[in-house]
Amino acid sequence: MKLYSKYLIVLIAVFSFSIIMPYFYSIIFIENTSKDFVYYSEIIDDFAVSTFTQNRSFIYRDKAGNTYTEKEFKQILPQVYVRDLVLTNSYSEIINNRIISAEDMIKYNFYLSARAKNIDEERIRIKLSPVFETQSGSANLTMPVDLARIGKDITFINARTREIDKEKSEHFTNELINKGFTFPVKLYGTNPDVRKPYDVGTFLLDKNNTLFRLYMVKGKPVVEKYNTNISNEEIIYISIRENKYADFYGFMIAKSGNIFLININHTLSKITVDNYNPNKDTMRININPLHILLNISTDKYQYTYIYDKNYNLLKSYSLDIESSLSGYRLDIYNMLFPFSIYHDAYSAAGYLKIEKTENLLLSAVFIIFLLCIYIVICRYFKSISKTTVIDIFVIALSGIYGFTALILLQNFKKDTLWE
Amino acid sequence: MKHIFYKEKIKLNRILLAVIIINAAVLIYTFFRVRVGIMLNEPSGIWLDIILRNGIFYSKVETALYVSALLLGVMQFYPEFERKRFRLSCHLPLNEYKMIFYTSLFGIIVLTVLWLIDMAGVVLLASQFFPIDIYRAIPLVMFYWYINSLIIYTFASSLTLEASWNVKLRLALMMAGCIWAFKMEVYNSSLSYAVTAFLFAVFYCFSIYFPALRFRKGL
Repeated sequence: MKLYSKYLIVLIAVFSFSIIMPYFYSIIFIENTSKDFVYYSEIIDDFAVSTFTQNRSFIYRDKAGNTYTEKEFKQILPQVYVRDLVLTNSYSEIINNRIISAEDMIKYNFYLSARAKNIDEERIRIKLSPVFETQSGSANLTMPVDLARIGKDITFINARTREIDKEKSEHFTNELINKGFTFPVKLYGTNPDVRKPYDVGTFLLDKNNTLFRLYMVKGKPVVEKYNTNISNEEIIYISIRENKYADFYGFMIAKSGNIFLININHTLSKITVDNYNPNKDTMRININPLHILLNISTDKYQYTYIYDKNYNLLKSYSLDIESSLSGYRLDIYNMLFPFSIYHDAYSAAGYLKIEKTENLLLSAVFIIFLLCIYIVICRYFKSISKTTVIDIFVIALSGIYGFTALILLQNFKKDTLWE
Repeated sequence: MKHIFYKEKIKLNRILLAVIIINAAVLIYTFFRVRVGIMLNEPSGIWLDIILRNGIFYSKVETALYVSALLLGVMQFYPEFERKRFRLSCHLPLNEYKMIFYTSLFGIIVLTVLWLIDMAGVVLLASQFFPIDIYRAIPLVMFYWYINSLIIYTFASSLTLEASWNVKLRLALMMAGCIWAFKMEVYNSSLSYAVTAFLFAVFYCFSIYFPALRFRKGL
């Protein structure tokens, strides 16, 4: 039992150290990295990159390697810096043989994004959602007194009385069924923010992967069906954002990484994306009058894709993302820590993530070094015993974590801690 | 076992009363806080806020549970350490491993009962103001608090029972990283993860044997 208690503490320490040590190493040796912002210029017909350097200044360049001043850079990217250009009277309405006024450039410039965290949050969210009255006669949206439970049917629960509004629930459920909806609801998306200017409703995917739009007009449900076939895609996220100038209501993301814009004309526009894992990466879309720019940020690379107005891929560009640990600091990290455990209390899917070293060879060499050190220490203090074999096994498996735990537990001068 | 439990009960009478009062007071406070919030705002807005922000409106209960675990861990073993009672207890006509196990088990049972009361209280409270969708998600969130409270209790009792300040510090270094390893701040997290965390907490609880056996040997 004495021996078990020792190794129990060692195992707990290995777990504990594998969280603490990499964390402290990272926050002590973290580097200020440079960040790249990739755009596409119709004027130079190439990708343009602004780099926020470690010295906290910007470097402007294009894919070909030409550098620009800040003023020049703004002029080749009117879709990004339209407001600055208007301010300095340097906005040109003729861009690539097209006439686009500054007003239109501002109005029809949309930014959409989805992080892996957003998708994770939506997956576990309690399935209660407001259905706003879209024609209340008031300029502002008001919070409804009830929330809808969206699942095997639509059930409205009055928050003041906590009672189910059976009549309204049946009305909404039946209206959906009448329009061809097959319960249960597979996934839904809405913008539940009451501060938005107006409401476009809730978008629901039915059992057959058919998309429906549900909204309320004067207390009555209105259902619109999207006659598009996406049955071969597993949709994992729906994001809705109201914008009166946009010709879409929002977008959906499939597990495959493909993105579907939900158009106001009851169609879906498919954007085929490579190198996108929605459960890990961050996606940003900029839809502007010139083109559609899609940016995927993984932990190592930044991919940028340019599409035309019909969502055909025109060009792509990829850049490495600088790690907050690089060079010898990263090598030491990979050498010291054979694995590390990360914990995210705000992620339902994140939990305890175990990441193994990126340099297995370096890590193995360091473990052998630790083993030698440990044996030398044991021999020096004449504390080699039968359990030393177990100690060596622990160090071989856990590296610095087990080594530190055993050194901390060991009392070399009088080896009485567990004997 | 009965006798050890009786001994622990006598020893911890005042502490037990204190932790019950702390937890009850926090539950009552939480009830009135939620009631005021619901009275002054549109209830559906409060519901939505909880859903969208993973609002843990009963988070004070978490603190109360952790304080209780810390108090129990320290106060259950401090007298044993201070007056060397523990060594005497090890000479009782009972296997010393069982003695350590039952002593520790008493604290764990108290924490479990406390957590169950807290959970029942919060669920009952929530059922007065919120729909079932919200209050049925509460036990899983609170289960992580229970796991953390077990870890805090074991951590506190292990450090209290360890006689040497040198080893106390080393143990603290080795065991501290686990304290917040299972903190969870979202509703509807995975049940399998909760079970894994619980198994780890059970495993962690046995670490009390290390300082206990050292203390028994007079190290």
